[in-house]
Amino acid sequence: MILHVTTELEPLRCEGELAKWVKRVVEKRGGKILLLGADGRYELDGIEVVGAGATPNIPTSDVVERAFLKLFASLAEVPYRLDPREIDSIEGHEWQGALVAYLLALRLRKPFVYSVYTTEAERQGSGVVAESIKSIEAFLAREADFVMARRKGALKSLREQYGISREKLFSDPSGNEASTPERSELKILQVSWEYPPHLIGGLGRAVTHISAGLAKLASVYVLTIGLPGRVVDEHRDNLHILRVDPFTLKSTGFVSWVYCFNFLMVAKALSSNLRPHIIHSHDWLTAPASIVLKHLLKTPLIITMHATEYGRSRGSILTPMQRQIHYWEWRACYESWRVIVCSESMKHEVIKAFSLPADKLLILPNGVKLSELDSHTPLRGERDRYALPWEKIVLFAGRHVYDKGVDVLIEAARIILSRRRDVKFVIAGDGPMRFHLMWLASVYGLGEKVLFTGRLSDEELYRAYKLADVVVIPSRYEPFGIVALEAMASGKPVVASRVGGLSEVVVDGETGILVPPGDPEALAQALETLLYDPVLAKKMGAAGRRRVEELYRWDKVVRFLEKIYRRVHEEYSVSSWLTLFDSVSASN
Amino acid sequence: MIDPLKLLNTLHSLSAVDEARAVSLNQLSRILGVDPRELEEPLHILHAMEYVIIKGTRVYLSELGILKISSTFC
Repeated sequence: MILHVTTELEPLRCEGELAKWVKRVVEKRGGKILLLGADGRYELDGIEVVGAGATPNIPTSDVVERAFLKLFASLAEVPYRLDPREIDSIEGHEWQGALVAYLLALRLRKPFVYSVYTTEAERQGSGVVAESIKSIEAFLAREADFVMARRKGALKSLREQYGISREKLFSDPSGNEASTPERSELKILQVSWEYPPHLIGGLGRAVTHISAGLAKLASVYVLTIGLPGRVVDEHRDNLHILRVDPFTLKSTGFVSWVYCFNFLMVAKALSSNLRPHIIHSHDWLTAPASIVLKHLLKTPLIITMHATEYGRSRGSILTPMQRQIHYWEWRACYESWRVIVCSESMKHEVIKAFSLPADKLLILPNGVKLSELDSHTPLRGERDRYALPWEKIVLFAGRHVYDKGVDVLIEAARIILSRRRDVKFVIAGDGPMRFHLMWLASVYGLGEKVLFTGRLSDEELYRAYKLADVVVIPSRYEPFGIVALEAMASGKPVVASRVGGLSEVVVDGETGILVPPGDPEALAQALETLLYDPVLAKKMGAAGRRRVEELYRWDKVVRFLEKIYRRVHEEYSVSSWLTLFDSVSASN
Repeated sequence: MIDPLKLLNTLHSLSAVDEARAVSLNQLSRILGVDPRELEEPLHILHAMEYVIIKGTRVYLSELGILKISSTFC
């Protein structure tokens, strides 16, 4: 039996000609229809139609974003609505239906047919939306076992504009037979958009350290994205890094780019025949793929919420982009067996933002790999890169975004430099506010006293901590504050805002000084206190190091995490969770 | 002048991330609906910040440019 997947069909969804065309094809070839974006079941002139579930009501005018929202919503529902036992092949009608059909075919190990009626190239669309759709169509045509041009125009376009052979035939599906998954050992799938070389902030470091540590206790698979030229998979003992090229498909903006690489992540996981015991996802950016894999593979999901849009925006979710992010954060928390957060303040934030029961949440702080940090000592003459010999160094490291409060630091620098000239402010990192911050420093006449280094490698940053006299974290919003931890581990005193996780990591008056967020006067005063009292600074630095050694080590974090995985797996083993895809799981 | 960040985002959306996937300035101006001359200044800024690589009449994002976009949204 052929399963036809479409977004349009009479009488529920018929915006264009596609509904009629699909019906005609199914009448001729037989099979049943999976209708995306619709609920329930019905019969259309003798054809069985199964609704794949409603699409979440998130406002977006972007057709690519809408298509992916429909895809992720459907794939989380299909294992409960569709019995796969009678399906011989899966045919996706037009690109939106074919995206879902492709992933279902990968999951069920059935031939995938891509039916094309018109192409975006034929429609002569222009702009980023058209470019994105054309790249999706080309991808699907490449991946399909068989491409069916349903109209002469489509045939011509597929041949001439997409370079697809008219005679593309079914490939031998026997090569895709699944092997029996090894169940004796714990297999963990980490799903993260950040992992080297795509490292942005604390999330990526956390996933890197957790995965490396866990690989000593379990088999760890990291599903992530690569950078151009660095998309290859890696296998080192128990650690397997599976990368997708996030630029395989063209997108229409950041959100649809995220959806595109989530789609590719699902395809990668299914074609790699992964059968993990636990899926551990990190933040909203991999929530769509993780949720879909949870349902398609019937595997418990755990999410770590490193930050929330609710927290970043101080509770005002207004723009379509914010609403999509907030939706995926809520959905991931809702779908997860356990939700992990990094601090007490994040626990309160997540409970407030998503109305989660407190007993679903676990606090697991981030850590520091002391041996790695200790192994990097400043190079000869490296200090001269940052400051003159008589200048004291105040170091900031982080993204240049509003939440990080770099503008407050520049205001504080102006106050300090109006009184003393022996201080250098070293601002490491990059971000959308960089142009503005450089302009601000220049307008204040601080040019030679504020150094913007751009992005530093981990090694450069570890050495920079050791060159600093004080490390400053002037954040307005900070779920945890891994920079504070690294500075403390480097034996440096910290001046930080009294917000979020920072007020838990830094002990005021003992390992550093906490100041009210957004208060440059208080920040300047605290910095001066530590800059000009070296005895106090040294004492606080030593206390910070001791605190990290006692409480924030990755090996401790990893051991606790492994216990969480085992407990969730035990709970899952005695649960009554069933899907219609179970028969396929068993045979694989 | 076109906002350099908008230009950066457009290159990201178009997957112009390496030499093979670079876009021509003509193509870029067509997609953005602007005169090619309007691209000169923002491209110069982005090039000076090492966010883009320009090869003849073709342009693509550097690794730093890709990470810059990622850091904007996370």
